[in-house]
Amino acid sequence: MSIKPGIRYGIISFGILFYLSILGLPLPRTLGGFGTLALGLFWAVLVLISLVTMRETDQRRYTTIEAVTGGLLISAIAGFGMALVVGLFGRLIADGVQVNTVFAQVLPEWVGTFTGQTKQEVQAGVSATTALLRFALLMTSAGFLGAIVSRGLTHSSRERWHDWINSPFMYWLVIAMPFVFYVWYFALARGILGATNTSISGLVLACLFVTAVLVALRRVRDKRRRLVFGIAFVVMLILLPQIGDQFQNTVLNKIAIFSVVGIGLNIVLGYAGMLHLGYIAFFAVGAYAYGLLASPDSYFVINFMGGDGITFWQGLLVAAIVGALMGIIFGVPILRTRGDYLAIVTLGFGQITFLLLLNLREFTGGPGGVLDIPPPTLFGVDLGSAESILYLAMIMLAVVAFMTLRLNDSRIGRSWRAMKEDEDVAATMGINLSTTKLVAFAIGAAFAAVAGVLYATRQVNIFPDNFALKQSIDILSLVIIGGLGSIEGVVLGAVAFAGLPEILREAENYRIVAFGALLVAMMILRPQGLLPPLEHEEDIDVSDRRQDAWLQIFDAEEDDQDSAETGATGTD
Amino acid sequence: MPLFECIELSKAFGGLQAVDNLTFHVDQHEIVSIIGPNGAGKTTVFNLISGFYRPDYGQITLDGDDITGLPSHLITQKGIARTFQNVRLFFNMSIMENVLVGQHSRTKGGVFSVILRTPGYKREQEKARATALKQLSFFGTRLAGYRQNQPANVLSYANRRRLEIARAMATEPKLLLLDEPAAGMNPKETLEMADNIRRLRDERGFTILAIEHDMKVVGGISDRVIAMDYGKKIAEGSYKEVTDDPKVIEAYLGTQGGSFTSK
Amino acid sequence: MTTIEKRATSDYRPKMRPSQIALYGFGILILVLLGWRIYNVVSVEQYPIQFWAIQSINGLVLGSVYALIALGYTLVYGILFMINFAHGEVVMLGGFAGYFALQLCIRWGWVAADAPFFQSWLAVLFPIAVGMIASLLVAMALERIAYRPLRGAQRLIPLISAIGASFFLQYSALLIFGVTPHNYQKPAVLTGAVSLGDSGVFISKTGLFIILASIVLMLILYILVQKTKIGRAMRAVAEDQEMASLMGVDVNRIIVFTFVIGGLLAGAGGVMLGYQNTVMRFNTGFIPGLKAFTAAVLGGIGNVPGAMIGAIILGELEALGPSLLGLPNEYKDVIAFSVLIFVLIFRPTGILGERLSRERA
Ligand SMILES: Nc1ncnc2c1ncn2[C@@H]1O[C@H](COP(=O)(O)OP(=O)(O)OP(=O)(O)O)[C@@H](O)[C@H]1O
Ligand SMILES: [Mg+2]
Repeated sequence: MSIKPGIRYGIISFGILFYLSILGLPLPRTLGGFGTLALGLFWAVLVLISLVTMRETDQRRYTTIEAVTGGLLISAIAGFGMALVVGLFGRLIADGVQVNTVFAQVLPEWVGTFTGQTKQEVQAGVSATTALLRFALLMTSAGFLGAIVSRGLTHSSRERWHDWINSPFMYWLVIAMPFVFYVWYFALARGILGATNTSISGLVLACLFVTAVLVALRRVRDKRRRLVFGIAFVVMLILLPQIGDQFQNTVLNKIAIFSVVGIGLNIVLGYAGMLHLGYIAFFAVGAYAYGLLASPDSYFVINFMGGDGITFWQGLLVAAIVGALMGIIFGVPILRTRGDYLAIVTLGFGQITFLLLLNLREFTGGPGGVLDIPPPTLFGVDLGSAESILYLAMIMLAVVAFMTLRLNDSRIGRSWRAMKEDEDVAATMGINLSTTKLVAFAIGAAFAAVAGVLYATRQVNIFPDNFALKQSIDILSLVIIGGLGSIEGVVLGAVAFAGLPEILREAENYRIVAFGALLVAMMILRPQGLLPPLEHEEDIDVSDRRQDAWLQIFDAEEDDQDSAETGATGTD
Repeated sequence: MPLFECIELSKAFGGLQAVDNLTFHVDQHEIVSIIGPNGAGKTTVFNLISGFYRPDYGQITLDGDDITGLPSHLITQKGIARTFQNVRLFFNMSIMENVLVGQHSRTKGGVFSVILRTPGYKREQEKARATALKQLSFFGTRLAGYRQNQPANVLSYANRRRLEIARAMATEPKLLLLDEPAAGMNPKETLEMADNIRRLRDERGFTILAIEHDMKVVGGISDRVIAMDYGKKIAEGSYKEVTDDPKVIEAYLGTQGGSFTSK
Repeated sequence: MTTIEKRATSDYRPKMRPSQIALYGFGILILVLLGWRIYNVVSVEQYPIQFWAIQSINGLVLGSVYALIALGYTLVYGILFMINFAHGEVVMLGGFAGYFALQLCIRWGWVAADAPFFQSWLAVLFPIAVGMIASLLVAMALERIAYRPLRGAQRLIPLISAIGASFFLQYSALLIFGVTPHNYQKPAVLTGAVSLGDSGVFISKTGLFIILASIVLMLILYILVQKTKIGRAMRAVAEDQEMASLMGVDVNRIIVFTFVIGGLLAGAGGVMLGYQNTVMRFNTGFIPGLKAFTAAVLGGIGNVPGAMIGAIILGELEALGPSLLGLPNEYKDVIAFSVLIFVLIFRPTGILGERLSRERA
C-alpha cells in the first residue's frame, strides 16, 4: 500500500519545503503574481518525483487508487504542515515574539507571502485561517495532479522517452539549437526583437548558445559532420564578441577565463587524480605576479623597476614560469601524501597563500589589493575592452584546450591516468610518480597562472578576496559538476559557475547553498558529471559489453566441455 | 652469477614475520615457482622485490646490481616486471593504453615534444604501439577478439589476467614476476596459461619467477620449486624433490588441519 | 654456497637513499633555522615569564576545543576512511543551537550577574546540552543523506559530497540565521578570571571550564570506546569492517553511532567556541574545523590519543608561535598550516599514525 511511504515522503517533502522557506525562498514572493501557481507546479513535480521513487522502491506499478492516496497524502501532509507552521509563526509574530532572532527570514512579510496579508495585518494578528486553508488545499490539489501524471508514466513511457531522445528528430534539434540561440541572441542585440532591456536576456542566450554547442558537439559522432559543424561553431564563436554589449562580453570573458583555470585543475584532478583544494593559489600567483610587476603603484615597480612595469605579454610569460615553479614548489612537499591528506594539505597551501596576500602589506598591498593594473596592448592598440579581453580569453582557452588534448592522448597523459587509477601499479610500470605528479602540478599551475594574468587585467584592481577559499571551491565544483576529465565539461561548468552568478546577481548566497546541494546530489546521482569524458558515456560501452558478454558465453561453453573431459579422463 | 638473487631477505609487519631470512636465486632463462600455504609470505616477497616495501634486512640483486630499497619505477626500469594476485589493471583505460603504459619507461617524449608532436615523438609512439600489439598478440586470438580501444573493464576475468601479463611484458623486463597467474581460471584456461608461461620463456626469452597454487601448473612449468612457510624457505629443488619433502607435506597438511590461519 | 661466504663479510641492512638523506638534511636545516630565530626573538624581546605562561594556558584552552572537534574527524576517519569535511559546520550549528538555548536562559534570568549559583551553572550546561543534541541530529542527517548513499564509492566522491554539504550548511546558516553576529553572553560563573597564587598568572574562568569540561567529555569517550560493548564493536569495525560484519556486528549501526559521538563532541565544542569567542557566525565553525582536522592529521588520523595530542600541539603553536617567531598575530594560521605540511612531509601518517595504506597488493 502507498500509505506508509506516502506519509514518509510527505514528511520529507514538508521538510524540504520548510527548509526552503526558512532559507527565505517563499516562491510566491520571488515570482510575483504567478508565485502561487508556480509553487503549485513545483509542488506537483515534487509529488510526482516522490511517487515515482516510491513506486520504484516498491518495485511495482501503483493502481490509480494507490497513486492518488499516495499523492494526496504527501501533498496534504506537506501542505497542511506548511500552513500550520506559517499560522504558528504568524501567531508568534502577532504576540510580539521576535521570531527573526532565530529565523532571520521569518518576518511579517514572510508570513504575508503565504497568507496574502500585509505586514500590518500580520502584526495585528488578523486571522488568516481561510487563506492558509486555501494554500493547503492548493498544494493538495497540486499533489492530486502529480498523482494523476505519475499514473500516466509507465516503464514503457520511459523507454519511449529514451527512443525519442535518440530519434533523428532530436539529433537534428540538438544540432539546430546553437544556431537558434545564436540568431536569437543576434536579433535581440541588434534590437530586431524590439525589447529594451536586453542585457541579461542576451547573456542568457549567449550562455545557452555555448551550452548548446557543447551538447551538439557531443551528439555528433560522425567524423565528417563533426568537422563541418565544428568549423561552423568556431566561426560563430569568433563572431560572438561582436554581437554582445560590454556587460555580456565581460561575463563571457569571465567564463572563458574560468574555463582555462578549470582545465588546469582538470589536469591535476581529472587526469592525475589529485584533489587540490588550494588550486586558486596558482590563479592568485599569476594575477599578483602580473599586477605587482605591472601596476604603476606597486612596491616592486616603484622600487626596482624605475616605475616601468612589464607588459601584458611579458606578464603571461612570467606568470607561466612563476606558476609552474609554484606548482613544483608546492608539489614537492606533498609528493608522498595521498588522497585525503593531499586535499587537506593543499587546502592549507591555499589558505597560506591567501593569508600572505592579506598580511604582507608592503609587498602585496594587503586587503587594499593591487590597483590600476594596465590593460594589454598590441602595437600601441589598447586591448583592455571587454571585447578584446574576450578574444584573448578565447584564444587562451583554445590554446590551453589544444595542449591539454595533446597531453592527454600521449605518454604523459597515460601516465597521469594510470597514476590516478592505481599509484602502486603505475609505479611498477616504470612511471616515476614524483615527476609525473610534478609535471601535472606544474602544467596545471601554469594554466591557472596565465589565466590569472588575464583576470588581473580584466579586473584592473585585484584583492585577496578574489582568491579566497570560496573561489577555490567554485573552481572545484565547476570541474566536478561539468565532468572530471572532460574539457567540454569544464566549459559547461564555467558557464554555470561564472555565468549564472552574473545572471542571478542578488542571489549570491542562495547560489552557494544550491551548488552545495548540487555537489551532494551529483555525487549520489551522477558522479561522473554532466558532460563526462566520452569513454565513460554509456552508449559507447553498451555494444562493447555485449561483445564481451557474447564471448563470455562462448568461454562458458568451453568450460563445460572442459570439466566434462577432465572429469572423465582421470583424477589426480 | 645468477640473474637475480635475494639474500637473507626479511620483513616483519608489527609482530608478524612475513618473510624470514629468505635466500634464493633465479638463473638466466629459468622458470622458478614459489609455493606455500596461504599467508606464507609469497606475495610479500614480490612486494619486496618490486619495491612496494623496504626490507628490514637483506639484499636483492639483479644482474649483479644492488636494487634493494629502490623505488618501484627504477626497479622496473632495471628490468623486473610483475603481475598481481588480485588483477590490478587500469580498468578505465583502454586495453591498448594499458599495454602502452607498460612502454612508459622505454619511451622518452617530454611535455614539449608531446604538445608539438615532434617527428621523433611520433616515431617513438609508433614503435611503442607496434610493441604493444606484439605483446597483445602473444595470446593469439584471446585478446584479439576485443577492440583494443575499449576500456579494460569489459574483459572477462581470464583475459584480464592475460592483459596484465601483456602489460608486464611491455615493460621489456629481464625477470617477470607472476603472482598466481592461473588463479580463478577454469581447467582449460589453466593449462593454456601453463603453456603460455613456458612460451614466455622459450619464445620471448623471459626469465620467470612465479607464485602458483595449482600443482599441475607448478609441475608443468618449473625448472625449480621453492616452498615457503611462515616466511621461511622450507624446501628447494625440482618439483618432485619439493613435493616429496616431508616439511612441505606437513606445511600443507597443517593448513588443511586448520592449525594454520593467516589472521 | 656463495651466500654463506657473503654472510661473513657483508651486512645487508638496507642503506638510506640519497633522497632520504637530503630530505632529512633539509628538515634539520629548517629546525635549526627555526631554533635560531626563536632564540633571537626570545632573547631580544624579553617577554616576562608570565606572558609565556598565560599564552600557553590560552593554547591549552584552544587545544581542548580543537581536541573535541578533532575527535569527530578522527573517529569517522577511523571507520569510514573519509574526511567529514562538513564537521566544522556540525560544530557551528551546535554553537547556534547553544546560542538559542542561552537566549532562553537569559529570558529566564539565569545568566544575569546576580543569578543564583545553581541556575548560573544551568545556564552554562543547558546550552551545551542543547548544542550537543542539535549537532548530533545534524551529524546523523549528514551521514544519512550525504554519505550513506556513497559508501563503497571511489574515495574522492564522498569527500566532494562532504565539501558540498559543508558549503550547503554554512550558507544555509547564513541565510536562516542572518548575517548579524550572534553574541554569546557569559553566565556569571564564567566571567572573570582565576589567579594562580600570586605569580601574576591567571586563567579566565571560561578557559578553565573549557579545559575541565573537555577532559571530562574525553574521559567519557574513552570509557565508552574502551569499556562498553558498542565501543568494542566500533574498534572492531575500525580494524576490519568485513571481519566485524562477519562476526555479527551491525556495521551500519556502528557508523551511525560514530557520527553520533562525533556530533555530541562537536556540539559541545561549538558552544565552547561560543563562550570563548563570545560570538557565533555562519562561518565560525569552518576555520576551527579545518584546524581540528589539521590537529587530527598531525596526531595521526584515525588515532584517538593522536587527535588529542595533535590538538594540544596545534593550540599551543597558535598561541605561542607568533610571539616565538616574532611575527604579528595574523600569522598564527600560516604557522599552523606550515607545521601541518612540515609534519606530513616527514611523517605522512602523523605523529602517532600507523597503518600505511593497507590496500597494497
Ligand atoms: N601490508 C601488510 N600489513 C600487515 N600484514 C601484512 C601486510 N601484507 C601482508 N601481511 C601479512 O603477511 C603475511 C603474508 O602475506 P602474503 O600476502 O605474503 O601471503 P601469501 O603467501 O601471498 O598468501 P596467499 O597464498 O594467500 O596469497 C600474512 O599473514 C599477511 O596477513
Ligand atoms: Mg599471495
